[in-house]
Amino acid sequence: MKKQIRGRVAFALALCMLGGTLGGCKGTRNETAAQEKKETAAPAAMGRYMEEEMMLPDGAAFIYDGKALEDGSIRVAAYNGDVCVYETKDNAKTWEQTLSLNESMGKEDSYAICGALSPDGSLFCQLFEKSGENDYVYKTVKVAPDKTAAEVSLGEGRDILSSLHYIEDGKILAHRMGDTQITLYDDATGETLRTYDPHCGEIQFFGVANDQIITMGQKEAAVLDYESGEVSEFGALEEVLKEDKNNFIMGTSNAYPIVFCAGNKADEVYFCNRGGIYRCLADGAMAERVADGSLNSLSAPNVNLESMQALADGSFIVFARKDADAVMLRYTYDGNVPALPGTELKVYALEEDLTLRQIVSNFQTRNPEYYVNLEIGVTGEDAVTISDALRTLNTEMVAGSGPDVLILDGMPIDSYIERGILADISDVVEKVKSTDGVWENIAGAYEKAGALYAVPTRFKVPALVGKSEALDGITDFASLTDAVQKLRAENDGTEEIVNFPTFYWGLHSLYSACSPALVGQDKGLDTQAVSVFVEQAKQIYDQNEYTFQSDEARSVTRGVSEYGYDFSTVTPLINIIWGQSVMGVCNLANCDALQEIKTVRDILDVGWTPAKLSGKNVYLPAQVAGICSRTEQMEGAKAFVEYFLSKDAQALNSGSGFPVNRAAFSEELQKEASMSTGATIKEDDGSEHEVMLDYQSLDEEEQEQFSKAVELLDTPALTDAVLEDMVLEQTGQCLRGDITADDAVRSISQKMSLYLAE
Amino acid sequence: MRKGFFFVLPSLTGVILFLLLPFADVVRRSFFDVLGNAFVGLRNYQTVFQNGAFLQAASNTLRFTAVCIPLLVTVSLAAAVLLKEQKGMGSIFKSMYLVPMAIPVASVVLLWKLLFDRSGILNGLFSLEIDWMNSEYAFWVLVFSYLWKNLGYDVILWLAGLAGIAPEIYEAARVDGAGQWRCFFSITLPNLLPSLYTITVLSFLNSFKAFREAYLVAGDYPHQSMYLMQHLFNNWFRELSLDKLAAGAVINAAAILLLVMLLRRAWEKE
Repeated sequence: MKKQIRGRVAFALALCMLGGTLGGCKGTRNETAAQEKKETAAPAAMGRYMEEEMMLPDGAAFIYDGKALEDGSIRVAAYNGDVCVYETKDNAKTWEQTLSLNESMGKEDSYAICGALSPDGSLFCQLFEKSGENDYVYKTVKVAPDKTAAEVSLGEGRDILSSLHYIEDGKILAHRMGDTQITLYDDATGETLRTYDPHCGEIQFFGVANDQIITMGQKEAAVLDYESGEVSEFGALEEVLKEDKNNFIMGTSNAYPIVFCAGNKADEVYFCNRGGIYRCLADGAMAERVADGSLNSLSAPNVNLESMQALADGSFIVFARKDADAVMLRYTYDGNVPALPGTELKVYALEEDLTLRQIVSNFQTRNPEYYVNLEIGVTGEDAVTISDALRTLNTEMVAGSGPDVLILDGMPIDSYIERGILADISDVVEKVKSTDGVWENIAGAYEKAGALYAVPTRFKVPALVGKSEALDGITDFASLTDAVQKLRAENDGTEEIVNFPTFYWGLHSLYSACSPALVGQDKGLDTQAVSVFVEQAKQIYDQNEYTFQSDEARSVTRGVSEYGYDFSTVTPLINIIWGQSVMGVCNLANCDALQEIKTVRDILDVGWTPAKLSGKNVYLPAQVAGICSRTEQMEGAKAFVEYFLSKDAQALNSGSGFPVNRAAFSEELQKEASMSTGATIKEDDGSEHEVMLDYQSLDEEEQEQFSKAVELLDTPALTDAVLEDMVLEQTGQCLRGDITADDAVRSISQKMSLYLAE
Repeated sequence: MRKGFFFVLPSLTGVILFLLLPFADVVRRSFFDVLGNAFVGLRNYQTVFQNGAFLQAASNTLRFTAVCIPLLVTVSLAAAVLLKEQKGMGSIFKSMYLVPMAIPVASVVLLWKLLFDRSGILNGLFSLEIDWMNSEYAFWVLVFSYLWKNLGYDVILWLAGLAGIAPEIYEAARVDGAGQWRCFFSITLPNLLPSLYTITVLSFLNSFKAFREAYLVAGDYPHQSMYLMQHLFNNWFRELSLDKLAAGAVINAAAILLLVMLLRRAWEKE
């Protein structure tokens, strides 16, 4: 009997365990992911905030402050050659000017650094005025609703105010740049009423919402109660703000990474950043996202925030700068629209790139039926390396949950093509070829057996930039080394002959130009080429008298730059003008670099030449796009890649590379110069003077010359990040003097042999 | 019998679901292409056997095993025999042998870097300028690390085996005039043969864990002498060479199984 009971208990326990184990298993292998999603998907959630761009007053370049009034009208303080206050009572269809600083002060060219609107319609601003030939002063002025203007001294003198906010009529909060405190002033007399010390170090800017003063330091945030000056009931907001480091990264002047406003209730504070619009409650531990930034313009890198207001009907107004234009964006809740667009498109890139992010945002706006989810493999916020990120990506791809579109920079592209991971996108490229034209010598970099599995959407040109006489006769690596040695003898006092911004970026530029030579035709290692690379790089670096001191500069690993910025695209011209360098190797990535070279030619005989260090006409493919062959969103993925190659997307260029779209490329070369740079010139007698150089546009001959140089490019540089790290790490150690050139060559050869043998 | 089966069933289910079935999938994948769509027969195995990196890694792994296992077994046995004789301090020494096993891998890696770096403690103490991790010495550093980490484990296992030998046998032998060495070779060793099989197999399996330190110190591509099978598999996975990875894994598993079966056969004969 006992045995029978024990047997039954054992059987029951076994069944329970088995049931528990099998209960976690999902469907069969034969079900597609789409079928699974259909069967298990809940009805789509409805309702989200929709973006609408509203009209601003004519000519408004940027907005100092905006206020939503109780009667539903909106008031803004804007700059349009004058500092003015406008009001609209019909939802921005028409604007009426209520105040003009020029009129009130009898001036013609008022310019304010910052400004604030008071609840009663007064404008308080800090003006920037020239005093004498090269001197400037700042003064604060209040313009009352009756248009009378009065100077109000806050004692700032030459101090710039970074932020101004009214807390109530007659009382204004101000922060001086670099200060650790915020001061409350009487706006009529300038009397200091109180100071607030948020204990978050140097303050960058602050905002005001519902009697809360929200202060953003370099890395810390603080929320103080206006009345008590102590940490308020919104103290938890500090931790929420600190979680996103982008909240502390300032963009352009008069624009902020995050803005705040009061909600319609006293216990609500809203804030807006790239992630969207968030609501935080008093005593709350977290912020609730009410509007997803990735579904509208808020996530776009070219949008910088200026101010926001919550309206009585639950919608929001955000004042921002989109590139150089002021915009007013209204977000209104629509319950009839799905919370997320029906189709998700996953785009994956190993590293952050602002141009890519902008393209994603634009595509999202133009194709609201898609929800584009951009995933970055190596963010720098954790210890994930490129190898780790690739393994994680591969796991997802094999499991069938990989991305739809791959931005293949740094990835083993040839390996993916051989294994059938990438789909043929020849039809997409053909479409663009037939409309705008493409640089076929660049776009066909990864063509295999008549099919295109990956297409570089941009490219960079490895170049030697420097004094013209220094560039003469340099046709390969050996002649560069000879030239450098000769220049060292002729330029005794110059710190660097070849500019190295840091170990890594200097070597990266050299590697870009030389990499195709390191791997032979048979995909085997060319040991001789590796030896030449290491030895010549060492010889070139040894001619520099400057030695890096900081760990960051001495590092031979790439690290992760905050914006994914490629420092190899920066020309060495400023250093050359200063007399610190004679030349540099860089990757030309946009017309700004060519305009800069042309501009500097006015004061110094400089030029550029393609860096044919491997004896070949090398280009660096950039933003290489591919579509995963197992994607279920082939149509959407192709639409995205087509947009990526379109003139519209290719016109966006923040240093990511020249467009492969020929129409966009021509427009890039034709663009009007708008940048300028300051440089310090050191004279022979040791004196220095500063010059301001306004970039000059390229003329037709120069555009033609560059286009001809691009036509000759026929050899793509190696873009595999694993291979590059392998070479640069050892070469960097050699340059630092940690190991000999022979050791470096031996080590690289060994590692590369293993890599290529795999 | 049935009751026993039911008690074992949950664990067996777990082993089947999370070990055997996935391995069966790996075996299946070794006969297909990367995406698992096209049957390629033995092509993947052919590719793997012709792959230079695989041959290098296999050779290094075999060499590592051939050097480490006999060394570890011998040294740990010697240490266990000596420890057994200790009276008061014996338990303290036993604990000290186990300390390396308790140290996390990341700490061991840090220790390696401090000791064996070009500017490390070892070079400093002996005024040398050897880059230990980037030269032929790297293999011996790996061997040393493996021995250091696993010695305590084997010592404990040997001690357990030694404790199972009846003291009366030794007494009888001494009465017959046997010396210490004679006792060791004629009594200790024969009685430890069952333990030897277990320890050898466990040490062999532990030898594959040496990859962790090697990877954390030297990355994906260490010095050639340290390039083991796991490095290769890790890199193949990064390159999405799943076909070769599957074939290599099957070959690896078959080799290990063969070795264990041979060992078992040898012991059974004894």
